[in-house]
Amino acid sequence: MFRRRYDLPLGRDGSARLVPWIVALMSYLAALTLAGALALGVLAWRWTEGVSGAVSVLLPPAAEDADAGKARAEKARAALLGVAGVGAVEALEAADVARRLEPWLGSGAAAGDLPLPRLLIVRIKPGQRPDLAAMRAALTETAPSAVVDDHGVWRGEIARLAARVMALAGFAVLLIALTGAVVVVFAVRAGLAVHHETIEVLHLIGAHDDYITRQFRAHTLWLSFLGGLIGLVLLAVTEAFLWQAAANLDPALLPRLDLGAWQWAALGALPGAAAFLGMMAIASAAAKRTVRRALARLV
Amino acid sequence: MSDGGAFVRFEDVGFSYGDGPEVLRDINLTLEPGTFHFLTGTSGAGKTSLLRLMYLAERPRRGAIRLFGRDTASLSRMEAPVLRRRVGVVFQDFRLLPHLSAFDNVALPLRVASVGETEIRQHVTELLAWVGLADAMDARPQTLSGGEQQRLAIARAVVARPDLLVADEPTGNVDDHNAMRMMRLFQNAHHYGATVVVATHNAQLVARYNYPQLHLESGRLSVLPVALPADPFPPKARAAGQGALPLGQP
Repeated sequence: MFRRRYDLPLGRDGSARLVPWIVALMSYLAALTLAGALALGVLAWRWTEGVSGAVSVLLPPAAEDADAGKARAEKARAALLGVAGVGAVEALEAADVARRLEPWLGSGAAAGDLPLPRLLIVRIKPGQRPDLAAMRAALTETAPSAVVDDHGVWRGEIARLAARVMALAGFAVLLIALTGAVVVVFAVRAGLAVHHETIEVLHLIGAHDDYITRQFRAHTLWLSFLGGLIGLVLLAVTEAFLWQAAANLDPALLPRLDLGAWQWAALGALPGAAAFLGMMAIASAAAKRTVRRALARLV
Repeated sequence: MSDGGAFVRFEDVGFSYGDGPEVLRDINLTLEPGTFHFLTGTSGAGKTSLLRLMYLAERPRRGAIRLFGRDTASLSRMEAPVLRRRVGVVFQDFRLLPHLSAFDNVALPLRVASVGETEIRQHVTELLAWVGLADAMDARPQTLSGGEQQRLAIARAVVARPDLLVADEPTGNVDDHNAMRMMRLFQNAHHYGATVVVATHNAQLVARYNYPQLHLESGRLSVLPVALPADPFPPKARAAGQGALPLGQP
């Protein structure tokens, strides 16, 4: 595909020696940006998917003993089960709530030193929308100050954040692609200047523009191919490093990045392939356009 | 657009480089197929410019040039190379590609014309033998002597069996022996059917051969008469399907 006979001594062209390394850097950065955006997208989907179809009901702490609190939660649970669309209601034990808050509040929460709210998780039947007004109405007697939250605001914020990060990633990839194209254009222009005399001889003995363009294009593709491979290796090393780092994250503070080896490979392969093929396509198009414009100036 | 007859025709051609003064003025010239001309004139008279117009390296500022029946002004970028392949050029400074072997240099015109490698090998090998460089096929041009480089340049110019062969001061830097040897190569190509134009300021060479002269002086062209019949071999029309140039001792 790339290694063909060149009438032009492009392989000895010093101006093109940096091209593989710059393409490697560009494709690595592009792949890393795409992979980061993809990972964030997956995480955002996981976070929002985890809380969609569920409603949290928070019963504020009251001056009561544990048994009375438990009884109040149980009454609220029974009232919520009567609301249309509710599939199940789980009343978390005080110890569960304390355990969930421990990363933020410390062990004091678990020791019962702090007044903690009671928490009920309401599961909505599949295909149904949570009726928050009906839930609040059902709780007016047992827990009038209960806070009913379907996480809509939080989910919306996460979705907006994910969309903005995706857009920024797209913009960054576009800038990287443009930079890559500019690098190729300058390298090809340098090659055209260095080999001007040879090009003119080829032109004068009857070479079509395509004949000359093909040689530059094939050479640029070869250099981009090499650069792309180096970029993929860098990406694989980075992924391996991130994989290890993610495995050591505290799962209580952040959602787990519990991706398997193949999922990590896919997370790298898709952006890697996109960056690799994208950079080659850009290099090929940039080389073709640059050479054609230069040749058009010859009679 | 074809006018059906003119092989090479210049009509009121004027030419200048950029915005500079005209180096060629009101050139009217017709070359019939199978003719041999010297192009003479002092240095700076415009010989190279005239040849550059002939091999389509330049376009005239005014007037018209018809090559092989085609008006060169109307040629598209796809058509011009096809016409250029019918013109063999021996450049003044040879313009051999130093990174390619003698074989690959000669093979270039065939490669750009997409000729098969088997055919290329056969023709180039024969041609290198014809110019006396059979033993230098793998040599780089810069390792060859001046005379050998000139013969290599001639081989490259004729390998595609051009209809028109132009040479710009080919004997400029060689001794008499090599100049005669080169002229025999041109005569051989002419004998084969090519129309030949050799630019030179070597008056002795011109006198020795007595081909008709196109004489340039201050950018104006005149045709000088032939004193004696020169070519012992009348030009032959090219037969379709023939192989490389007929071999002979240069």
